[in-house]
Amino acid sequence: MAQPVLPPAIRFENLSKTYKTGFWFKPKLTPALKSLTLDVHSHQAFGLLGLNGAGKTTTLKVLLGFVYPDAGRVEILGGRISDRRVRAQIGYLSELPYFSKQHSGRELLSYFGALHGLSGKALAARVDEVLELVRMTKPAGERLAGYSKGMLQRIGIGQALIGKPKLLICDEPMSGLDPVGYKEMRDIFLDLKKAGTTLFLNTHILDEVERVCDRIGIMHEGVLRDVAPIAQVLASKVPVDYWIDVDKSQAGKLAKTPFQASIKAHGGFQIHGNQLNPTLAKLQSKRVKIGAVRPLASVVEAYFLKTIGMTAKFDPAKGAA
Amino acid sequence: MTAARPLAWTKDWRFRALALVFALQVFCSARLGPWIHPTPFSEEKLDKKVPSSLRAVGYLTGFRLLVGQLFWIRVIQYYGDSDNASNRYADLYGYCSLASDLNPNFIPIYPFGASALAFHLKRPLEAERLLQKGIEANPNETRLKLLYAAIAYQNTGQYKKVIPFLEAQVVRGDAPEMLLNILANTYQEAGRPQDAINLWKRILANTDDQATRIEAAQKLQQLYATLKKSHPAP
Amino acid sequence: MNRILQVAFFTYRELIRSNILIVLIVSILAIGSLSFLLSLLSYGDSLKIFTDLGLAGAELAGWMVLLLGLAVTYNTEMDQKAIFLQLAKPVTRGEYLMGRVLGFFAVNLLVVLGNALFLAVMVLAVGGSLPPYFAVSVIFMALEMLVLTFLGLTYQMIATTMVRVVLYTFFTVLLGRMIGEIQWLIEKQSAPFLKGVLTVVYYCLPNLQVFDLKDRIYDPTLVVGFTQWQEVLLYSFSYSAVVFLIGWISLERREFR
Repeated sequence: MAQPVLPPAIRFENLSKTYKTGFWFKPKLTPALKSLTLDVHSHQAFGLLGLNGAGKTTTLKVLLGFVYPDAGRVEILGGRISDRRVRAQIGYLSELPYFSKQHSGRELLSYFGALHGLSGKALAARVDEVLELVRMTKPAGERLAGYSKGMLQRIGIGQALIGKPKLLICDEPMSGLDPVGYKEMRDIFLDLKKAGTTLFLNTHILDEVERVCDRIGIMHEGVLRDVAPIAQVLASKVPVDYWIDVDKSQAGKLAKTPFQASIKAHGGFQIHGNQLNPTLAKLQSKRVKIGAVRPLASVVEAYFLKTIGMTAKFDPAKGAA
Repeated sequence: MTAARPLAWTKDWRFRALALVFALQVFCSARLGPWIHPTPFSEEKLDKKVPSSLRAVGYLTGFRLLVGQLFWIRVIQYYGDSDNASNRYADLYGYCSLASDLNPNFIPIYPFGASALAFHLKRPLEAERLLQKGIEANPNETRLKLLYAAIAYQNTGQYKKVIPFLEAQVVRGDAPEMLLNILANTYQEAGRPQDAINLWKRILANTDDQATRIEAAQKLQQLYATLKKSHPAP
Repeated sequence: MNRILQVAFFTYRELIRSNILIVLIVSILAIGSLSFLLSLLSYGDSLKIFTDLGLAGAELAGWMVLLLGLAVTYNTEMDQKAIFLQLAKPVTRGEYLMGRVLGFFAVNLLVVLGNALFLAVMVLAVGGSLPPYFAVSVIFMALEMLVLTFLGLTYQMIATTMVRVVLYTFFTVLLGRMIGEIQWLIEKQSAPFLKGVLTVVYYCLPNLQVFDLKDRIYDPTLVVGFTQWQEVLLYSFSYSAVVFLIGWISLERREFR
């Protein structure tokens, strides 16, 4: 039996936005969005990827009504963002959320809960529930001034969840989190997804996208370059570059090859994925001792880089992927 | 699907509401105009030597009484500074006038300034001008009228007629000490040394001011000497 | 309405906890003791001097708290973008603005009334009596604070930097205080165009002299009857409504980049 077709949670149609800066009589025009058309399906997790300045945050701001588009239309949960009934069904977490530091975590969540129309025992119960969910029950009574970046991020996700949203919109949700917090946040997202919440994640952490998202969109210079299910991305045959570690003393065995200079300088060399097997065979034939063979990017990363027209480059200071 | 832009102003009810409440506030402001606004600038030409920046601050910030009270302290300091005696306190009227412009209902300025100008500095015209301002701003203040009359009499040398007005002032508990001095001097001028002696004794007994004590003692010495001359001991 | 009260209470708590309470206590103590000291230094009716200075101090403290609060919260709300999370909730921008105004006004009221009450207690404790329009002048001061709070918060919604918010508010207060001088200029002006421009300015600026009873508290010609009460109240509410609507419309049209 065919699945019923659900209306999209978010629909952008030919959305364009250009920022004007500088003097009013001679403004500098910076195009941030160019004809964005995109559907985000209900009950799915969608990840919007892009470099800094790609237009991701502008997309979110238009979606939430913080900036107005020059052209195009946007629909969210079947209505307009200016409609409070629509906003009642949305949770939003900004990048590095900032709150008035004079309140405690519990007071802050109670305030946001009250803005969702909750009151009395229902509000108190929901606040407790959310504090538990974001693992902030213990420090809930302390003022936010004493919270770490990670704790603020958790309280931030807490305020986004307080109204039991149907759609959760997050801008760089992993910013400022330590590895444990990172994992906890990912678990929260997975739980929400399981419970049927639609997730719209604006991120440049590709690992998070791979593990959480069902679909991804790739933006570059204000243009949505590609939209694809994550399964399709992972199954794609995008060639990944590799780094082969070779001790500098072995460089002499590879005279007159293009690798020798790189081995002398960096203790290894980079090759394209489809050249991996022949190169390894060649090294073996010359009896070169190989240290390690490492991919320079994950599949998602390689897909992303290919989409925006870039390739992964080895940085000796940082090593390979 | 709807555009994500704000409503055009022609379709926005708030613009119509804004026009309505703006008209209402203009109506109220127009009605309140004549009730509340004080005369912003004094028409009187002031001595340019007297600084008026404080007065400007008082008017511009709306803290006239605050600045007026600060200025009142400057008036007292000016009159209390003996260095200014060399030019016979030339700016005293200007200072008092500024203080009264800022704080027209603060009564002590008028008797203090007028008494000093008329009786001490012998500039009765300035004293009268100051009192006129005070009476205009405070029509119910009888003692200002009494003092005005007293100065008018003194100006014409009619000391005996001055005395009842000054006595009426002194009877009031809040009369400045200087007025007692003036009354004592007036007794003396009017040929009533015994009343002058009694009053100087009272001043000597009650004053905390060292300069006044010295002045009272000197006056008493002088008055006793006068009495001795006119009534030599048998 | 509940959402407005929630925003108001949140704002009130934020201001009270962000050292503004210290301003309140310091202002009461500083103004009280300074007024007392000056009344001793001065000559004449010391209680009157004390009352004059105390009332002026109460108003100054109200201004100070407003400007300080605007500066402090601009940083949190606008620069650090705390406003984003609130506006993404089911609260309209009008409700948010009104709630912020009410929260600010509650703190201002606390400061002005606290100072006035302290002053009244001090005057009565030393056996003095309060001038007949003392309470009325304090209420008018509170109405002035209401109008100024609407103005300040509207500037906060429009201006793009904290310095601008403070400067706009400060200069509007000064110009509002000079409304009598502007009226005088209109009367003296013979050129119709300039007269027209000045009249427009006169009606656009807040008429703050309407609320300035503290400087006329001993004026024997002053009468505050039913008509005056009605007109002053109507004026303060209608002017506040004008400013609020401008703030609301501006906030709705403002882009948060």
